[in-house]
Amino acid sequence: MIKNIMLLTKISTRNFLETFKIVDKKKKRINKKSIYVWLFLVVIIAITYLSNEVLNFLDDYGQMHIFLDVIFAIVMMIMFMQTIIACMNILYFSKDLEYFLIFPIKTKELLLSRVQTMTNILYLTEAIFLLIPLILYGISTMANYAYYLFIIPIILLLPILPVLLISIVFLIIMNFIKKIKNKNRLQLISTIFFIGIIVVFEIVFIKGLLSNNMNYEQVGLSLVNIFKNINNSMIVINPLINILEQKYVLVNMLKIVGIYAIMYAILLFIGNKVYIKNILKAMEYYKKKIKTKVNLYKTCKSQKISKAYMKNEFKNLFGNTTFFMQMIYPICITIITLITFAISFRINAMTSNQELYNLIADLQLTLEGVGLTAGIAQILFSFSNISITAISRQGKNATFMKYIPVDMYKQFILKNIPQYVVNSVLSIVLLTAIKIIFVSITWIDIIIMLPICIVLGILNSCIMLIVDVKRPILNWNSEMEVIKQNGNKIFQYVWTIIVVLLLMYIYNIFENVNLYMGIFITLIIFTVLLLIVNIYVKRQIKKNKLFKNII
Amino acid sequence: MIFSPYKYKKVNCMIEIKSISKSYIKGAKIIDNLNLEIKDGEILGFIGPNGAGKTTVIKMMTGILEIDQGDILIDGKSIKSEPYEAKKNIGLTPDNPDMFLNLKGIEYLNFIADIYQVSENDRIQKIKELAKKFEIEDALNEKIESYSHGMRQKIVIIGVLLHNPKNWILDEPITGLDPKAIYDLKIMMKEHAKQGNVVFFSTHILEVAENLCDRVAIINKGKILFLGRVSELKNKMKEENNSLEELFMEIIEND
Repeated sequence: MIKNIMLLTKISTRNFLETFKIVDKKKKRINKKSIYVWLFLVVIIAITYLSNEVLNFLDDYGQMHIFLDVIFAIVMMIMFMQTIIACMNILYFSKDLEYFLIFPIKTKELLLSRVQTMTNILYLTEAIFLLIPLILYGISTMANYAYYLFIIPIILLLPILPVLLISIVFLIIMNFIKKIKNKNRLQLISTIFFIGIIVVFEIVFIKGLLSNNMNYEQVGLSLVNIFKNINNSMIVINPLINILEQKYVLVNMLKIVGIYAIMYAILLFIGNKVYIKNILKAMEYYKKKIKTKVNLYKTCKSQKISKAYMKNEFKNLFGNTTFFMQMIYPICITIITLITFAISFRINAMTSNQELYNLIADLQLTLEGVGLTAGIAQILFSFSNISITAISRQGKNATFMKYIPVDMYKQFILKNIPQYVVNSVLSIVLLTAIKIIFVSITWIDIIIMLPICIVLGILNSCIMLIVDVKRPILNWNSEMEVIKQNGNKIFQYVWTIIVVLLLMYIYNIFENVNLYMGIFITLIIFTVLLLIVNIYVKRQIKKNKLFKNII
Repeated sequence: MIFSPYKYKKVNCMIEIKSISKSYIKGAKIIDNLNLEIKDGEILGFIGPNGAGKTTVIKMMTGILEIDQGDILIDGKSIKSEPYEAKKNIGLTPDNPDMFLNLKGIEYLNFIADIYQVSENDRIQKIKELAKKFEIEDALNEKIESYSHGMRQKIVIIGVLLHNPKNWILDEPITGLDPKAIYDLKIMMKEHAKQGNVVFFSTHILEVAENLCDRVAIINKGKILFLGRVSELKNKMKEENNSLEELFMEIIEND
C-alpha cells in the first residue's frame, strides 16, 4: 500500500513541479531561463530582508519571542489559501486522475496520494516563506543545535493540518452538494466560499486593529493578539512552537501525532465511503451530454463582427474554469479585498478610533498622492493575466485570427477589450476605496485622477498583448500551462517597475507644480506613450510582422 | 504596400500558387519554388507523406504563414497584398479541429456566421440542413469540449460551409469522420465543385483521392513530384500493373 501511495504521489508531484521548469533536465542543473527560478530568488531575498528587519525591530523592543507567533500565523494563512485553491482540482478534477482510475488502486491509496501531493506542494511554500525566517530567528537568538534540528519535523508536520482539514471539508461538501452539475459551478461555489473567508477575516482583522482609540503601540499589540488567536485556533501551531523552543518536546510531539492520527482516521473513514464515487460523479457530470434540441430561430441572431468577436473573447475567459480562475478570480479577490478594507477601515476608524479618523480627515490630495494612486493602480493591473495570454489562451487554433477576413488591427483592439474593462473596473474600485478611506478627498479629485488610471490600464493592456503576440505560447496540452509555463509574465513585472519609476520621476520633477496641472501633464505623458504604442502596432501589422509568430 | 507581380493579371483559375518558397532556417527550404493552379470547378487532392509540406502550403494559402518568395492569388486577389479580400473567399478546415472548445456547437456556428456576415435566415437554413446531414442536431446545444474528434471535425466543416466560400481548403478533412460523414462530405465536395467552385484538400488516404479528385498533386520535401489527372495515374498503374499505393511509394522514393 505504501509503495503505491509513494508511486502515485511521486508522479503527481513531479507533474506539478515540472511546470516550473526549475531544473534543466538535459544539463542537469538549475534552469536559468525559467522565470520561476528568478521569481523564487527575488522572493527569497525579499523574505530574508523583511525577516531581518522585523527581527531587528523586535529586538529593539526586547520582543523577539513574538516573531515565531507572527511567522507561523502568516505561513499558516498562506497555506490555507493555497490549499483551498488547489484542493478541488487535485482531489477531483486533475487530469491524471483519469489515468490513475484504470489502475488497480484502492480508494485510500489514491486519496492519501492526493493528500500527500498537496502536502508536498506546501513544502515548497514552506521552503520559501518559513525556512529562512526560522533560520534567521535561530541566528538572532543564538539558538543551540537542537533548535535547527527541530526545524525539520516542524517543516514536515505543519502543512499536514491545512491539507487534512480542507480535504475533509471538501470530501463532505462534494458528497452533499448534489445539485452541482459541473466543474464550473463547483469552482464558482469555492470562489464565493474563499471570498467569504477573506471578507470575514478582513473585517475581524481591522476591527481588532482599530478598536478603542488605541495608540500605535496598542495597535501593534493588538496585531500580535490577532496572530496569537490564529495560532490558538490552529491547534498544532502552539505545540510546534513549543517543540522549537524545546519545551516539553515529547509531550507536544505526542499531542501533534495524536491530532493527526485522529484527522487521518476521519479522512480515511469518509474518503473510503465517498471519494471514488464522487470522482466518478464529477467526471460524469463534466462529460454529461445535455441532449436538448436547440431552437435555431431563438439562438441564431446576427451581430456585428466586432460585437461577436468581443463576446467570444469574454466567453473564452468566463466559460473556461481554468482561465476564469487564473484571470478573473484574482481580480474578484482584489476588488472584494479593497472594498471590504475601505468600508471596514472607515467604520472602525469613525466609531472606535477618533484620533486616526481626524488624522485622515485632515489629509489633502497632493501630487505625491496622485502618483501613489497611479502606482497602486499599475500594480493592481499586473495581477491580471488577460492580455498577456490573449493569444496563448487560443492554443493551436490561434491561427484562426489570421485566416478570417477581419482586419488585424481591429482584432488587436478587440482582443484587448476584456483587459481594458477589467483595468477600468480596478481603477474605479481603487479610487472609490480611496474616497471611502480619505474623507477629505472630493469626488472631483477622484474623477480627475480616473483618466490617468484608465490610460495607464489601456497602455498596460496594449503592451502585454504585444508581448503575447510576439511570444505566444501555443503548444500546450492543459490550460494551466498557459499561465504556469508563461515566462512572458516577467515583462509585466518589468513594465510595472518602469511605470512606477516613471511616476516617481515625473512627480519629482513637477514637485512644485499646481496639483491639477501636474495631473494634466501626467495624463499627457501617458497618452503620448499610448499613441506611440498604437503607431508601433499599426506599422508592425502593415509590415506583416506583429502576428508573425502565430503559426 | 507589398509589391506583388501577379496582382493585376487576369486569371481563369480560382487559386494560383506562383513560385512560392518558404524556409524557417536560412538556406533550408521547406517549400521550394512551388507552382500550382487550381481551376474553376476542380477538386484537387494534395497528397504527401508526413512532413512533406502540405500543411505549410495550406497555411501560406490562407494567410497564416508568411510567404518568403512568390505569391498566392485567391480569385485574383493576392493573399500577401490584399489579404482581407482574399480571405473572404476562403473556407478552411484546419488539421486540428479542437476549436473554441468552451463554446456550444450552436454558439460556435453563430460566431462564424457573424464573422462572415451570414444573414439570419441563411444561417438558420444552413445550420438546419448541415446539422441534419452530419447528424449532430442533438449535440448543437452542448459544449464542443464534450464532442468526440469526429463531431469536432463535423462542426468545423459546418462552420466552413455556412458562408459558402468559393474556395474550400480542407486540411485532412476525412480524419476522424465516420463512413457516413465521409460519404456525405465527398458528395458535398463534388456538388461544390460542380457549381464552378474549387475544392482543395490534403489527405493521406489514397483511395479518397482516387475516388474524388479531378487532379492530384503529390508533394514531398516541399516540391511537387506529380501533378495530373487521376486517370493519368491510373493509366500508369495499368502499364506497370501497380496499385495507386505502390505508385505513390515509387514516386516518393524516386525523389
